Amino acid sequence: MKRRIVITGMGSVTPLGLSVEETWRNLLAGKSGIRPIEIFEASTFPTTFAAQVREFDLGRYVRDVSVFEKAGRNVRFAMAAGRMAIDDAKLAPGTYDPERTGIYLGSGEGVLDFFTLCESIAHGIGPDGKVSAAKFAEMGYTRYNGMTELEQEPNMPANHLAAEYGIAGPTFSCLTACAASTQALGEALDLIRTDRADTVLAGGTHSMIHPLGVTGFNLLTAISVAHKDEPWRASRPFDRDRAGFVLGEGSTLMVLEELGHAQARGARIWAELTGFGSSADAYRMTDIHPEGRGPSVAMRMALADAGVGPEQIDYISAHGTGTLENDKVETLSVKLVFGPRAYQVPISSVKSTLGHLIAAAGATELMTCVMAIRDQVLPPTMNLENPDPECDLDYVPNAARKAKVEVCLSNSFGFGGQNDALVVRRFVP
Amino acid sequence: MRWIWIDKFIEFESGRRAVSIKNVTLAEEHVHDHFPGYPMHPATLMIEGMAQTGGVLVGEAFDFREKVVLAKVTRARFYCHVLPGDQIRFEANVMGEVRPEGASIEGKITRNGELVAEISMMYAHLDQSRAPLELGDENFVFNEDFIRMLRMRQLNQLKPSAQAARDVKVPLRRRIVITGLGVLTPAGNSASALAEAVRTGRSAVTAVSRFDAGPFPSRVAGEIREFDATAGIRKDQARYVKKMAKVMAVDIQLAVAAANLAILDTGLPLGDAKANEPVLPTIDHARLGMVFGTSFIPTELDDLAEPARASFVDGKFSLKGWGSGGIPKMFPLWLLKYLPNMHACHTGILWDAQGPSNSLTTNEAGGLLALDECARIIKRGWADWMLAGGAESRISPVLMMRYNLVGRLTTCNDDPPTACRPFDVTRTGQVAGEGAAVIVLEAREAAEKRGARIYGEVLGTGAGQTTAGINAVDADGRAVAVAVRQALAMAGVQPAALGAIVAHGTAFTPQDRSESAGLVAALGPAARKVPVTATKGVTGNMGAASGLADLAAALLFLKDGQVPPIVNCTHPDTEAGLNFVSGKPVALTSDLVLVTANAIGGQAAAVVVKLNR
Repeated sequence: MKRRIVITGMGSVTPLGLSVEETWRNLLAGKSGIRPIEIFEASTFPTTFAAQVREFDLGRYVRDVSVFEKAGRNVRFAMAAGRMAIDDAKLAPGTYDPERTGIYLGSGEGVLDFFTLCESIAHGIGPDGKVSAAKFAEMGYTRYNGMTELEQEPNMPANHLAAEYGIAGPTFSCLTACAASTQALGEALDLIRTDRADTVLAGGTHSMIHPLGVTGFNLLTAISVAHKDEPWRASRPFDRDRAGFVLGEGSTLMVLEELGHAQARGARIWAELTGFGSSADAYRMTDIHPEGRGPSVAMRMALADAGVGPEQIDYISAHGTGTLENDKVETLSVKLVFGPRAYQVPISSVKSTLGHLIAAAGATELMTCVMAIRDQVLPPTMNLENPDPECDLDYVPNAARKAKVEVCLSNSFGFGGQNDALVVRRFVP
Repeated sequence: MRWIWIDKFIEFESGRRAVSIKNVTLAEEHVHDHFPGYPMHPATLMIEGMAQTGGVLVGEAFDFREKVVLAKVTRARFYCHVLPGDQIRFEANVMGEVRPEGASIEGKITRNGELVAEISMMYAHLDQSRAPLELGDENFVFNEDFIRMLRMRQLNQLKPSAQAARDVKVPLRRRIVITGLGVLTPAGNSASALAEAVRTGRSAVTAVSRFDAGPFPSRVAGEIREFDATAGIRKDQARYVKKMAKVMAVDIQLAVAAANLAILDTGLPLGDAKANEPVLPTIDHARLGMVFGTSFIPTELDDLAEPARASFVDGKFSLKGWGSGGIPKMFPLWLLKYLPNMHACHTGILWDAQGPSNSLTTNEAGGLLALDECARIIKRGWADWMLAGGAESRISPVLMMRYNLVGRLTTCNDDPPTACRPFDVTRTGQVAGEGAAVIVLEAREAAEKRGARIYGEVLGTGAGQTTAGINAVDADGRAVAVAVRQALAMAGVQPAALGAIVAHGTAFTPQDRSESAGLVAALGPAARKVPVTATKGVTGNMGAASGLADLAAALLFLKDGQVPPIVNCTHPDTEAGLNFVSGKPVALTSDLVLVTANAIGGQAAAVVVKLNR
C-alpha cells in the first residue's frame, strides 16, 4: 500500500492576513490586499502597487529576533508561517524525531542591498562604460555586510527553520519560479511516501516586492501597470481586460505527515494530500505552450496519482495569474483534461485579491483548497467583470459560493515551463 | 514478434483484479499459420494472455519483487473462435489473496460481453533464496513493457472511471544506473579531464584572470578558460544556444554545455533535423526530465552600469531616479538571464524534455540532492531518463566579496596551485571555483536493453540538514552523518564494505572538521579504514556543481583500482579520525563508493554508487 500523507498543520502570512483564518475570511469577503507600494520608494516605477504583508511583527514568532537582523522578508514570513504551522500541528519537541523530519520549501531570494550594489557599480564605471571590479570592490568592501549578502541565498528560509526547530532530516529548497511551492509540496509528499521522512515542513515563501523584482517583471511586461488609481482592480484573472499579474508576498507552510505517525500522536487532520503531477513545457523561455501541453499532463498525472477521475474533482484552484496567455492556456488545458465536465467544475483564482506570491503562491492556494473543504465554500475570482470569450468556464465570479467540496485540484505553472498540480481531499479514515 | 499477448490494461485493483484487452488483427503473422485460409487467434495464446494479465496482477501485489511464473492451468474451456477484427477482454480475479508463495486466479475472456473462454490458473513465486546463482537479482519476469503498460493506463486515459483509477503502484525497486557524464571544470571540459588532474595531482587553480581582483583579500580561483556549449549538438540546437547566449548568465551556459555533453555521452542517437525528426528519436520525450542544483545568480556588474549611472539625482543614487532613468536603460530580458530555473528551462527546450523539471537552490549540496530526487522520480515511474545536474560560477565580484566578507575564502595568494588544501593541517580556506556537471540516470533494465555503457549503479542516497545556524556548521557533523547513514541504509551497504569515500573537503577548517566528524559518526570503526579522497585542490569550490563533478570523476579515476591522493593534502589532519589518502594512491578494495557534499549552515547530501569496472 502507498503510504498516506495528511496535512496536520498550516501557517500562513499573506497580504490578506497574518494567519490562515484571517486570510481565508478576507478572501471569502472579496477584500483586496493590493495597494500602493510602501516597502520602498516606487513612485516612478512603471508599476506602483503590490499586495504587501502589513503590520507584521517577527518577534511574535521566534525565540530571538536578533538572529534575523539581516534576514530578508522571505525568511521573516517563513518563520511566522512555520511557527503557526508547527503550533497548529502540536508538534512539540519530543513528539517527532528530528532526523526523520524534513523541510521542502519553494523559496525565493532574500533582501538585496540595492543601494550599495548600484552605488558601488556606479563608482566602478570606467571611461569605457565598463565596471572595474577592483573599483567596485573598493567601495563595496566598506559598505557591504557579509551576513546581509548570505541571507540572499534562497535556502536561507529552510536553514533558519532548521536551526529554530532542530530539524535535521532531508531538507530541500527549490526555485522553479511561480510553481515552486506546489512542486515543493509534491516532492515533500514523495519524501514521505518513500519513507525518507515521517514529517516534512513544506510550502513556500517569497517577496519580490523589491526594486529589482519589480524592475525585472516590468521589463518583461508581466505585471500590470493599469488601474494605478484603483490598484485593487489591477489583478483581473480571466477577465477580458486583464493586463498582467500583481506582485504579492508572503509564506504558507504546512506540516505533511504520514498517516500512521499523525494518528499515533493523536494529531488533528486537516486533509489528505493524495496526488501530485509535474511536467515541463520545453517550449519557449518566455511563452507557455499554446496548446497547454505541459499543464494538461501535470493535471492528468496528479489525478492518476490520487486515483481520482475528473468527475470527482469539486473545485480547481487556478494558477490564474491574470496575464493574457496564462489564463487562456489554463482554460484550454482544463478543457483538455476534463472534457465537457470542464464547464461544470468551478475554478477560481485567489490571485485576484492576494496578488501573485510567486514561490509562495502554490502553497497558499493549496491552503485555500483545504479551507474550502472544511467550510464547503469556494473563494471568488474578483474583478471578473467582462468575460473573455476564450475564458468561458465557471470562475466563481465576484462572490464566494457555497458548494459541496470533497476533492480539489490546485494548479501552478512557472515561468520557464514547469507545471505542477496537487490533489487534496477531505480525510476519510 | 514479441511475447506480449495483451495490448493494455483498462482496469486494475491492486492485489484483487485486473482487466486487459487485446485486439486481434490480420497484421499479426501467427494467424496466417493458424490456420492457412482460416486465420484465428490460437486458444493457447489466449491462455498466455490470461497468464500475463494475472501475472502482472500477482507481481504488482509485491511491488514486482517476486519472480512470478505459471505453475498450473487448473481449468481452461473455450466456447468460440476469435477472429481478426475481434477485441477480446481478459478479466483476472485473485482468489483469496496474493500469498508469499504465490496466488491463484479465476479468469474469463469475453468479446462484446459474449463469453469466449474460462481459464483458472495458479502462479508460484520462484524461491530466490534457493537458486540465487541461476536466477540472479534482476526480475526478468516483469520487463519494462509490462510496467509501462500499467503506467500508460494511469496517464493516458482522459476519463478514468473512479474504480479503474484506484491506486496503481509502480514498482519501488527500479534500479538506477548512470549512463552519461557531462562535466566542465577548471581542469578541462570532460569528466576524464578532471579525473586525470586528480590522478596526477595537477591543480587548475590560478590567479583570478576574469577581472581585476586587486583589492579582494582572496585573489585565486579555479576558472574555466573556455568552453563551447554547441559542441556535438545538432545545427538547429546550436543556433538556439548561440541566439540565447546573451540571456544566459555563465552558470546557465555551463549547465547547458554539461547537459549536452552528458546526453551525447549516453550514445542515444540524434535525429535528423532536416527530416524534422525529434532531437532524440529513440526515446519518449515525455519521460525525459531533469533536476538541477543551481544558485541565486548575482547580476553581472556591466548589466547595471548604465542604469545605475542614470539613477543619480544630485550626485546621489535614488530609487526615484532608478524608476525614471534606470529602468528604461535595462535590457528587457534581464531577469531571465539570472533566474535559477533557466538552466533547466533552456536544457529542456534544447532536448525537448517534457518530464518533471526542478531547480534546487541548496548551495553546494544541490548537485547530489538533484541526483537524490532524480532517482526517486525514476523509481516512482515518472521518467525513464533523468538528468541530474549542478552548475555554478563563484568567480564573480559579488560572490567573491560575499564569501570574503564571511571569511570562507583563503587569503594565501602566493602559490595558486597549492592554495586549496582539503583536510591538510595547513589549510587556509576555500578557493572560489566554477563548473557544471550533469549525470544521466536511467532505469537499469532499459539501459541494458539498449546496450548502453553503464558507468555505475546508484544504490542509495541520503540528505540531512544543519541545525547550528545559517553561517555555522554542526560541530558533531550531524547533517553529514544523517545523510551518509540514510544513503548506506538504502544501499544496504555496511560502512566497512566501502571501497572509497570522495569527500566534499572544501579546505575551510570548520567545514572540513564538521564533515570529518559526520563521517566518523556515520561509519563507526570503519572510518579509520576506508580511504578518503577529495578533489577541490584541483578545482576550488564549484558550488552546486561540486558533488556531481566529484561523482563523475570518481567513476573514472577509480576505474584502475587506485584511490588517488587528496591534491595538496601533504599533512593530513590526523585528529579527524579518517583515513585520508595522502602522497600516493592506495588500492581500492571494493567497488562501493560514497560521495558527499554539504553547505555551511545548510544541506548535506550523500550517495552510494557501485562502480561498473
